[in-house]
Amino acid sequence: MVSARPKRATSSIMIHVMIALLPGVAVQVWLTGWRTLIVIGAATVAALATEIACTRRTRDLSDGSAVVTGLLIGLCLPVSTPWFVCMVASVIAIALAKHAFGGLGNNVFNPAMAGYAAVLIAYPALIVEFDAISGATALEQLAHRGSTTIDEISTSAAFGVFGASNHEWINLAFLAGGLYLIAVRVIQPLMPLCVLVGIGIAAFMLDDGGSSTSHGSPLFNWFAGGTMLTAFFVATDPVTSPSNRFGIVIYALGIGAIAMLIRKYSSWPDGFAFSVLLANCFVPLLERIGRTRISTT
Amino acid sequence: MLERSVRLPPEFESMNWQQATPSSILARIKEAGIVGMGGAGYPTAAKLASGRHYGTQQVIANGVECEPNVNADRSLMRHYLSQVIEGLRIVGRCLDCDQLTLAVSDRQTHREFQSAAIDGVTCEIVDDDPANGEERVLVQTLFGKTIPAATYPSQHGFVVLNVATLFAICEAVCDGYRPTDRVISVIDDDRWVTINTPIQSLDADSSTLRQGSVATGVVATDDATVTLTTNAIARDRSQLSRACIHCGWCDDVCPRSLPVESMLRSLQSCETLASIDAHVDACFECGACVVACPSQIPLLDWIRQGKFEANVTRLKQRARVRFERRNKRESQRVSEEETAREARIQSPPKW
Repeated sequence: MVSARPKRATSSIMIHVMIALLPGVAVQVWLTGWRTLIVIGAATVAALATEIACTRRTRDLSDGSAVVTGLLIGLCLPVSTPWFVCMVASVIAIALAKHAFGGLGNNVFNPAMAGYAAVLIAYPALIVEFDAISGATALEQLAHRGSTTIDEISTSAAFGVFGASNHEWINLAFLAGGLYLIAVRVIQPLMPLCVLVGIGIAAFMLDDGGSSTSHGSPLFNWFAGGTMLTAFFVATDPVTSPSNRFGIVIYALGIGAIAMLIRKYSSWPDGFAFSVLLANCFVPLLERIGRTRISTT
Repeated sequence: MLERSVRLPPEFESMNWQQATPSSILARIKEAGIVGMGGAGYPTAAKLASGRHYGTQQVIANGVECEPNVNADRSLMRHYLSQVIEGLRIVGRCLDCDQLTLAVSDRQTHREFQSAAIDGVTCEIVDDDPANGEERVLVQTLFGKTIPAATYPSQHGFVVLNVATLFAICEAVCDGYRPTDRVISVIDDDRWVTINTPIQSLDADSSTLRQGSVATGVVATDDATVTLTTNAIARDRSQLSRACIHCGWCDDVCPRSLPVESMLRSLQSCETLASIDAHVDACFECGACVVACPSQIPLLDWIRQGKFEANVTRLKQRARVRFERRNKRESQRVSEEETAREARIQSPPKW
C-alpha cells in the first residue's frame, strides 16, 4: 500500500533545505563572527514580513519558501553589508521577483538572486567584500589586480590552501549540505554536477598556467566565491529551472560557464547572481525544446 | 474478520464447475451481471468471450493494489483466498487455460499464499508502484510483453481479472449468488458494503468524500452510491493543495512519460489544444503523479477535466468538418444546377 501522504511535501522540502544550509551558516559565523547572523537575520525577517504582506488573503507561510529565500540572500551578502541593504534585497526578492509574477511557482527569476543582484547594482559601495584579516577577497584581487601573475598574487593572504581563503571552508560546508540534499532526495545530482562541470570547463579553457590574464585553476574556482552555494542551493530551485533532463544539462552548464566568464571579463568579482538570472530567461525555451517524447503504446 | 451483512438468497442453482461446459460457465457469469471490480467495470463475460475468441495463454488474478490507503483487495485475499483461487480456476476452465498467476504487491499475501500450498497457481510479487495495478503495465512487468494502448490484453492471450471479480465469479458459479456487496476501504478500515449504499452515509464526519482512493477517486456527489467498481471511499484532501512549484516529479513517475507538469499548466490556463498535443488521453489515471506531488495538487481532477474538454473540442472539430463538407457539397450542387440551367437556356429548343 502506498502511503497517502506525499513522501516529500513542499514544506518538508524547505525544511530539508534549511537543515542543509546550517553547516554553511555555522562555518560563516565561525570565520567571520557574529555579525553574519545580523545580515542573515535581517534578510530573513524582511523576507518573512514581505511574504506576510503579500499573502494577506491566505496568511500561509508554512511552505517555508520565504525563509529559504531570506537565508540565501543573507548568505550571499558579505558580512559588512548594512542591515537595511539586506532588507531591501529581501523585499525586492519576495515582492517584485516572486509575488509580482503571481507567487510561488509562477516566478520566472530566482527570487534570491534577483534581490541580491538588485542591491549589488544599487549599493555597489556598501557591498564590498572584505575579509576581516586579509582585506579584499581572492576574487576581488583577481578582478582588480593590474598585471600580476597568479603565482605572485597567490602568496597574499586572500588565497587559501586550494581555494580562496575562508571561502574554501564555506564552500566545503555548502558542498556537505548539498550532498545531504542529494541523500534525502530533495535534489537530483545532475544539476549541481553540471554547474560544477560548466565552471570547470570554462576555468580550464581560460586558465593558461598562471599568467597575468589567467583566472585560476578549476579547483580554485570551485572553492571560491559562491560556487557551491549556487550549484546546490540556487540553481536547483525547482520553480526557476527546467524539469527535463536536456534542459537541466544546458541550464546548469550555462550557469557555470557564464559565471566564469563574468569572473574573468567583468569588473564584478563573482557573477553567479547574473548568470543564474540570465539562465532563468532561457528556461521556458528549454522546457519547450526538451519536452519528453510520449509513448502512446 | 470482516462482517458481512445479510444477503438475498441465491438466485441461481449452484453449479459443479469441474463438470460444467465452458459455455455454461460463461452464461452464468453473464447472467449474474459480473463486471470488472478493479475499477474499469468492463463486463467480465465480454472479456472472457474475447479471451476464448483469441485464445488465452495466461490468466492473471490482479491483486496488485497500489493506490494510497486502499486495502480492500488485500483484506479480501486475507479472508477469502480459497474462493479467489477457485474463481481463478473457474476462469481457467472457462478459457481452457492452465497457466494461472496471482499477482500481488505485498509480502504478507505472498506468504499466506505459500503457506496455503495451492497447486497449479503461481504467485508473483510486483513492486508497490501505483502504475502496476493497470493491466497492461502488469502484463509488461510480469511477462515483458507490451500491449499496445489501443488493444486489450485479451487480444494478445492475457486475461487479467481483479481478485474481487474472481471472488464474485466463484460465488456466482458455485453458490449461485448475484454480486450484491463488495469489500471497500472506507477511510482506513475495510468492510463489506452493499451495492447502492449512499456514499455520504458511510462517513458522517467529513463534508467531501472521494469515490475511490484519495489519489485516483472522483469527488462524490450528494446522491452518489457505492457501485461494484468502488474499491474505496476516502476523504478529499484537495483543499490542502498548494501552488505548483514545477519540480517535475510528476513527469518522472508517469508510467506513460506524459509531460504532466506542462499539461497542468495548459489545463489551468484553459489551453485545451495544448493538452491534446500533450496526449492527455493517453493517461490511464493510475494516480502516480498525485502521490508524488509535493504540493498535493489533485492532478487527476485536472487531467479528467482535460480529457473531457479534449473530447468536446474533438467533437466540435468533427462537427465543423462535417458542416464545412456539407456546405461545400451544397454549393457545388447549386453551381452544377446553375450551369445545367445555363446550358438548357443556351441550347436551342428541339423543335
